[in-house]
Amino acid sequence: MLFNSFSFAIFLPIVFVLYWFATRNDYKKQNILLLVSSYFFYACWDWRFMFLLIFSTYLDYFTGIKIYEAKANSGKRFWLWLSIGINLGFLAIFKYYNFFASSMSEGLSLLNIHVNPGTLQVILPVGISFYTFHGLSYVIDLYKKRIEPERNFIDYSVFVSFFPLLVAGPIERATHLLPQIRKPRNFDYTKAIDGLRQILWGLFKKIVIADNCAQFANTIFNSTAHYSGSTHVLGALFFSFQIYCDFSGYSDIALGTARLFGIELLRNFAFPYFSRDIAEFWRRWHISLSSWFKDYLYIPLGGSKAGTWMKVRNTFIIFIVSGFWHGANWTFIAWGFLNALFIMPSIIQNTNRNNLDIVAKGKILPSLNELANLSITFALSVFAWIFFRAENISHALHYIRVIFSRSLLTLPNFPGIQESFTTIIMVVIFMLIEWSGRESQYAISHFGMNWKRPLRLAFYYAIIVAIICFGGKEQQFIYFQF
Amino acid sequence: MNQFIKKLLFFLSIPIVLCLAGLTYMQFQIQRTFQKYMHDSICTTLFVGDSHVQYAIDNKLLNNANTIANTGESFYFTYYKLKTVIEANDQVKQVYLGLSYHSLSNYYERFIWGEYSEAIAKKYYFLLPFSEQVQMFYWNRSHVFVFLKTVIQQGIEQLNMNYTFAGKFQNEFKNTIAVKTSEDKRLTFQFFKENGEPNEFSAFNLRYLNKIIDLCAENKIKLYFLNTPLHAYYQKQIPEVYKQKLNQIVATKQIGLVDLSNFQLSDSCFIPDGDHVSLKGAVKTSIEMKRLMETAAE
Repeated sequence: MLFNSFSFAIFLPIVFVLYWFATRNDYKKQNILLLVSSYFFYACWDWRFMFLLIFSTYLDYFTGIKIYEAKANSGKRFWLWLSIGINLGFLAIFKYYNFFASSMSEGLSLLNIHVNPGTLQVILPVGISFYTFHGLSYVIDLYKKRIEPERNFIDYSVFVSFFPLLVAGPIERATHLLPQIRKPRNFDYTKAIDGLRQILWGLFKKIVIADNCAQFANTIFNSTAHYSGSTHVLGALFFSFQIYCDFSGYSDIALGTARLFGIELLRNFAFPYFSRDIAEFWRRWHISLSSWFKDYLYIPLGGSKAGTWMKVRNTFIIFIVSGFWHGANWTFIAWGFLNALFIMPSIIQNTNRNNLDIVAKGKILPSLNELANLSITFALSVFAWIFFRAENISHALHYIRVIFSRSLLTLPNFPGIQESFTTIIMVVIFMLIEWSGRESQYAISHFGMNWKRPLRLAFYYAIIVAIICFGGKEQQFIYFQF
Repeated sequence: MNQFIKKLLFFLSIPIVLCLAGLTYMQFQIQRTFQKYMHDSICTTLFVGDSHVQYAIDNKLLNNANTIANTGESFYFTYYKLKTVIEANDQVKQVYLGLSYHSLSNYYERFIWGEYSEAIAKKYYFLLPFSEQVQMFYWNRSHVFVFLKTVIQQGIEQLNMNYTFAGKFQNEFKNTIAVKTSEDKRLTFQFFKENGEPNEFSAFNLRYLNKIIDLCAENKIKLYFLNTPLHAYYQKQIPEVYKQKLNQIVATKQIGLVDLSNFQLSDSCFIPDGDHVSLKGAVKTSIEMKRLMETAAE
């Protein structure tokens, strides 16, 4: 059940009405309803993997209590590692086994040792990387005594399986979400309207920008031999907007949906393409994952406290692991490595926390210096996305070789270039709206708030018309595969 | 809460009402102008069906006839198209309906509610009654916005008298021959499941075939079935149950069958898939059709 599907458009109002009307504002009943609807939502993808989800949920719930109750540290450690081991074991089997097996086989064949480890014919359970990380953050926080265990299994299950975040995040923390689930929630008109507005903006990003860009990015990336360097640049740009609008569009819909139920989720994107350096980009891109790795990997590894070289090592580790989290392919590892390289100058010079505020705050336009920094950072991220999108490393390298060939100076040309002009105009309009709303939670949260109501409504209707008239062919959300 | 729901419903009702009003206007206009367009053509004979008829019958070589067959058009769509035409065109006396073996297969349902629905169904949307239009949106629910957009685009095109649903004689295959590998591919697509068993018949389309028969009878229109030429290799591979079913339909419905499936044509009279004639084949088929029609008239 995709967020941009007809079935979700039926599902959401039914759950919404039952949630606020049939439960008489009893939060316990609301939680049961949320859990049942979340499992139904998940079962619509593949009911067989629901058992894996329930098992994983119960495992962390159970080990969480055991960690808390264990008197000795060794006991606590035992339950913690049991949970981590089983959770990561599932990930290893479903997501990484085939990659490890084939990489090992290829590596050994270089030494003239030929082995056939065999591969597993398994489907990747949707959302496994996300709910596994939910569970891990919970047990680690318990072990670190940041929280107390959740004794109510229903409440804990809602924390793991709440349908807006179940399949592609944001990756929530028990410290943030569980307290909201444990207490009564009252309907808030302003929040609900804001939630709808964010859903609308998310749909626009996904249907109008991402789905259209996907079409052109796929055309160019899938037949790289035929196109010029400039066309390859255009392809990389299309993919950059596709992935941003696809994932941040999904996150907007998730956050907006959760808000309709009186629940606030963690912000996942904060206008990453308006970053002045790569460090800022990573504070603004997939925030829930970046902060997860920072809190549960970077800091336990020593973070930045043990000197520059330790900081460099730890930075490489988290970027490579983060790349690997995205998928079992060397391209993701290369993407992570490349980002680590890009961020390195600021890490070494200790300037990685220079740009904490949004660019050109309170101003209409950025300064020339800011504009140059924005452009460089954007170019670097576009370059890295080539690895993310490519089928394999040699595809990525070939793509880059073509970009830096003489044909870079020719005019881009590919089948569909005429049709792409509408999409390019849409992207420009989209970026202007994003720029104007960059100081808000999401671009249109305060857009037109000073306008008269009919004008504001006309703006929202224009978004709906754009979705209907300029919507691209429906594509799966990219992050569902992770 | 009540205020929220009221405001939300009000907000949504405006585009929904506008959209419904626009679509209703388009439907009214398109049906009216199409009926007038057909009336002006003053043809007494219509050739309807799918691409088999569309590729095979060049109405310019016939007298007083009009080919309004269209690619991917199943009996379901033909019924509503014919109904629209007949309602305002009492000059129509004869209808030749394309009835080939593949028309009976349930693979054709993919063009109505399956993966090809979006490409085919959008053209016929404005010929359908309201209940069927709702059904059409339900069938295309996985990409409802895209479908709505294409319906609106089709509506605008059809308002400009480009009746994409009407179909006309069209054959651009000048130098082609039947190719066995393409024929096999085509046969698999039309007649066989993945396990090699023949596809089931389409109960849905057969129901609409009956409706077409009833429609013609009610309007005192002489209906004939037309089985267009097929390449010998292609015809040989068609499952026997399909041949039996077609014979059974013809026998039980007592409708005249113009069977050109065995019409002797060289390989170059076909396109690679073997179940459509090429331009050269179309000329020969149309001349033969004219001869048969004149013979029947005598």
